[in-house]
Amino acid sequence: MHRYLALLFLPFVHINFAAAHHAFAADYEPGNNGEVEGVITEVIYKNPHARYYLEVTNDDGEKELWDLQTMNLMMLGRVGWTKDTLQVGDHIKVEGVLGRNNTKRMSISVVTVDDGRVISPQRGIRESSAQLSARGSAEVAGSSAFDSIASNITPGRYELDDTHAYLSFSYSHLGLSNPQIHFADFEASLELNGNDMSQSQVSITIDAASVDSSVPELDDALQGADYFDVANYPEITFRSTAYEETSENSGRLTGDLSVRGITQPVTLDVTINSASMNPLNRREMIGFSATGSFNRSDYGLTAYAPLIGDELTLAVQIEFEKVR
Amino acid sequence: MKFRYFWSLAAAFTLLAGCGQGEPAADGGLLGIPSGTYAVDKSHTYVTFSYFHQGLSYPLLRATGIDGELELDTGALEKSTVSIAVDVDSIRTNLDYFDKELASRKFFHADKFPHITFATHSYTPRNESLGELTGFVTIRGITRPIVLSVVINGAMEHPMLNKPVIGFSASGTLRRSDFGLDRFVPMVADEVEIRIEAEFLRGSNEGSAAAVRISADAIANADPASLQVSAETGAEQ
Repeated sequence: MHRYLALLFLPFVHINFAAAHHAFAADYEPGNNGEVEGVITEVIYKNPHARYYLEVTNDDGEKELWDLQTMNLMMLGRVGWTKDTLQVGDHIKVEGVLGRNNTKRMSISVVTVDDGRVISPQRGIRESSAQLSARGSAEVAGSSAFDSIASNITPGRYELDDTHAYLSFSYSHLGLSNPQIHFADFEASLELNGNDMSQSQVSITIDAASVDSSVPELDDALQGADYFDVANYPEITFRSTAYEETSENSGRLTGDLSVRGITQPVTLDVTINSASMNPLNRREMIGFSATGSFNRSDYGLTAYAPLIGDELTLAVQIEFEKVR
Repeated sequence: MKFRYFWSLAAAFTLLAGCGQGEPAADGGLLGIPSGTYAVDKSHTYVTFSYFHQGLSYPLLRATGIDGELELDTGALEKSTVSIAVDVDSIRTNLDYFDKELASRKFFHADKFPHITFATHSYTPRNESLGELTGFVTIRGITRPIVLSVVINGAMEHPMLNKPVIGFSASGTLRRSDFGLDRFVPMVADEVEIRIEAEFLRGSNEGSAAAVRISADAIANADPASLQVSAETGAEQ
């Protein structure tokens, strides 16, 4: 507890209120990006997420209503995105992550407005070059100067803060709901090279028997021979093989995931949330969110697919501390 | 229990071909299942919540003891209501000391306030599968409005249990300081995002009916001023 209390006075080196969201992967399909174009019919600038309804004319000439969602108002406020930024009647083109199950939902990555503005929930509002030159200004709304978080802390070995580490997965159950299953026990280490993130490495070892569905009979099934077969394969491991930056503070982490003796590559979308220093022990800390998905059938875990969805969506929330 | 689960799954597997979603129901409702009372399927319902911790990560906590009922009106979805009670003692963090701390007087004070409840104010459907559920959350005896974004994932005759089932995903945000849970704000974020994955089965049972009573009691005991819902409910600015 002393440590917990001391952290209250922690001076942050950096905070990046990125779009990291634990619930994201349940609604949207990371990696399945799309683009829609249409006219805004309704603006719902409210928490939990600002939303826009967009009337889109599909390939068959029919009108469809799309539900576009972005971040909460506090985060949008930080980049200068207000309730007036996008209005009913605006004709926009939106790139984003598509909803699961063809639900005509999208999580907004970038909006291009007919007037030339380009708007991002992370980067704020960039006006067209014509608009900027008209004002003789290169000003960009919101906080545009994002530094690389990882380059501002000491390279080297980091160990898991196991009091702030969560690893879960979900899947579609009969198309009705997406159960949220946890692994309670796992180890992880990070070899950080913030100046060349492609040289950083992460390793995770999960105690397969720690799988926790909150339903005892389902835990038995998950531990049993049809699924993780923990008696014969007590560990699930992930060893990174490559990291490709997609922005200063996000990237795609590819690694070898071994389940039940089968190893396959998987890719996680990683967001580096922030780094800071624990003032008590002077250890540097860095926190990540990551999501990804893979098909369990790739590992021979085929039982009851497709009634129980083949695709598993992973969600990782993890903090590391510098090893002295 | 294990074997029953598997036998029912196996039965479902063989029935898969015969069970289409959205088959017309006797009362002709849009969802293909009848109107009426549905109880939480406790084996397929998850409530998780998350917050920004020190700017570093979003711990993913969960409550495992959830019960309640849905009064479904398939002909007029906006007339549907849902009532939920969550056992505070069932909140799990993966850390025993943190579980105990959350149950203590410092946070939820489980001895005095054993339940977190939700009661419906109104549901605004956008279409058959999307909508906004406005209701009241009661924590530590304090009641506040909340708006949940709802997705109706599916509704059908359950292929294993041979009764109608409906499944939802929903999410929303509340401020824990509104309920007196303000320790460590703002280093541990005030905003808490709630995620619900739920299935409801046709019928009612002792546990689900008790949860409905607990939810109703929370509303009956609430300060009337806290039951006002404005158009701006959920807005923060």
